[in-house]
Amino acid sequence: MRTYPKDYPIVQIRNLHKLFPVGRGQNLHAIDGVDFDLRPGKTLALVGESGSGKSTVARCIVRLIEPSSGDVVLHGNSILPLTSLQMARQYRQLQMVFQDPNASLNPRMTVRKVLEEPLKLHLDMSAGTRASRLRELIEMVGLTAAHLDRYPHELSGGQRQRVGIARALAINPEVVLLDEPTASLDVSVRGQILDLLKRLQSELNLAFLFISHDLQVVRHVADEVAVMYLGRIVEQGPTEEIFRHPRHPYTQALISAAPVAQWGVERHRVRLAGEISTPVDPPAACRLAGRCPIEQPVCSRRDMPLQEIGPDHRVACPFAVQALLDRKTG
Amino acid sequence: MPTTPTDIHSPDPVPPRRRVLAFLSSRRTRSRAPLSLSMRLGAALLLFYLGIALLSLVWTPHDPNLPGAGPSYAPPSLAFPLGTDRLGTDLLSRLMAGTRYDLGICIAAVVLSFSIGTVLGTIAGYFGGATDAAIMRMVEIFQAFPALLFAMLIVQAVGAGVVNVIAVLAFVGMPDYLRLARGEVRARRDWQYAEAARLVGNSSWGIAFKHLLPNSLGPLLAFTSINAAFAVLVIASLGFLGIGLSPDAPEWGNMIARGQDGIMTGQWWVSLFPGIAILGMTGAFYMLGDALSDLFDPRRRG
Repeated sequence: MRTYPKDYPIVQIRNLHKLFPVGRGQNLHAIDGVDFDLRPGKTLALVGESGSGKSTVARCIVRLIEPSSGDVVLHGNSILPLTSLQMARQYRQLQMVFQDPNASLNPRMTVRKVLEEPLKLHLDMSAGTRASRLRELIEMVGLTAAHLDRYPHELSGGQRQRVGIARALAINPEVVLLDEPTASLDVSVRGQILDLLKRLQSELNLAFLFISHDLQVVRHVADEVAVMYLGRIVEQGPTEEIFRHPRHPYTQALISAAPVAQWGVERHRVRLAGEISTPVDPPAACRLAGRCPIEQPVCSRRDMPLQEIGPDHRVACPFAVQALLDRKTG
Repeated sequence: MPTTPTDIHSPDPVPPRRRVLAFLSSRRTRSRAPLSLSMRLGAALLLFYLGIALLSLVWTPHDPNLPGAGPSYAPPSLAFPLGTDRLGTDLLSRLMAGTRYDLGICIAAVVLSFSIGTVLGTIAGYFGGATDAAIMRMVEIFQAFPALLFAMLIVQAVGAGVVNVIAVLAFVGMPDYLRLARGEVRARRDWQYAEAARLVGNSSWGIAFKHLLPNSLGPLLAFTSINAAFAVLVIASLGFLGIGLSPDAPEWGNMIARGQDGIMTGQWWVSLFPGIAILGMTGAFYMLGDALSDLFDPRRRG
């Protein structure tokens, strides 16, 4: 396990954009200028509803999709200019766990073959070392050596995701992107997988990007939360700060929409008007313009950049603080 | 410090014998369905042909190439169970030797067109773009001609002979495999396990051939049977027209052609038996192919 100075950013995402042409010269702005850092031993959660672009961010970082502009920096070096062969070597440090373990495991490969592949492709290991590494890996994720000779369909959903995690960790990466790793799992298994991830993170000092739409899960695992809406981060800050004092109207709506499993707790819902607007060639305006309960005339006339409003807490809404106060009193 | 997760429970492992069959169908658990009648019948018939072909290497009742083994146009009898032809060669012996030709050429051609077509199709399907366009335009040119006509033209051009016939058949059959493989691989290109394979460190070739192709083989394997049935018909047609192999070769199409004169004068057996042999072999391949494509077609799965 390598050690780094405190707050050393292993991965830096700078002004990332991804446009998908949708014909007639129009573009879908899936990611519209996103910045964040990933740090060893820390989890940044990217939350937002479907279509907000959070999975696209992860795919751009590992270059399964090519970003349109911006930069992805790993250990101080941009990885965007690398050829696919050079990129394959970067995957030693940069790994990903996929959302659906049914779809991300090759149905014709046993667990052993799945886990052997990264070892063979990246590391020059003797057969003996590899066998002991396989055992170590499978036990690390809470399975047994007996599972090595099973096919994916012979495993339960939770076991499959454990295999997916073991595959990502096989070659000791430092950064792991988790794309909704628990979304397709039963609630009963979800907690186990989350605990496993937290344990592995502290043991291996991993930097996590945790993509999820499940706020309870995020609150459980994240150190820092970034809220995405229509391709932009609208609010970012320490997890408890975001959950206790959400500032952006969208964050407030999102958090107040989550059900509370407790009688007698009065819920103050922040409601947005209408539906999510289109990400095709959005105007230079706040993305929430037209839906926002505290909208001002200026909101639909210019972009709203992220502004620092507290320690590590940034919000893309100049009226947010005021709005919060207004609500409390009114 | 392994934890003790409670989700370690899973169905019984599939027994080894099932595993082989299951490997052919992409969902392993499905192989528990009983094999269909047409599958059994087709397989049995093919095994019978294969047995005859092997037997003919070591034993035939008479020399299949010896004229005058019996009288000219002897009707079926105990000495010559299927009769003799105009030259007095024993038809049963010729028919047995012919199995070797028809089955052998057919299998060689199918293996060849399967390999070439699958490899090119995988490349076209995975890489797409200009590569795909180039390969597909080439295939379209070949396929613009009816296959049998095309085969006849090439055989005429390159000359008769076993190797040439195999090559021509492989050439004519290849585009279908190519299209099938291209479609299957293309459909899987964006699946998550293809993305996962890239992150594990595979090159594009590794993803295409190690991950996508093995998962695309089902329909391709099913198609080999149908392709083989067609190949048998083309071999026999070329033989009948006298342009495939040398006219003396004991090939079924040749034999039918040789018996043509006898049909009007009552020597029906000379053409009938090779005809039945061809019918049986194509039928066996079709039955097998039908059963296999049922097995691989997700829409027809129970």
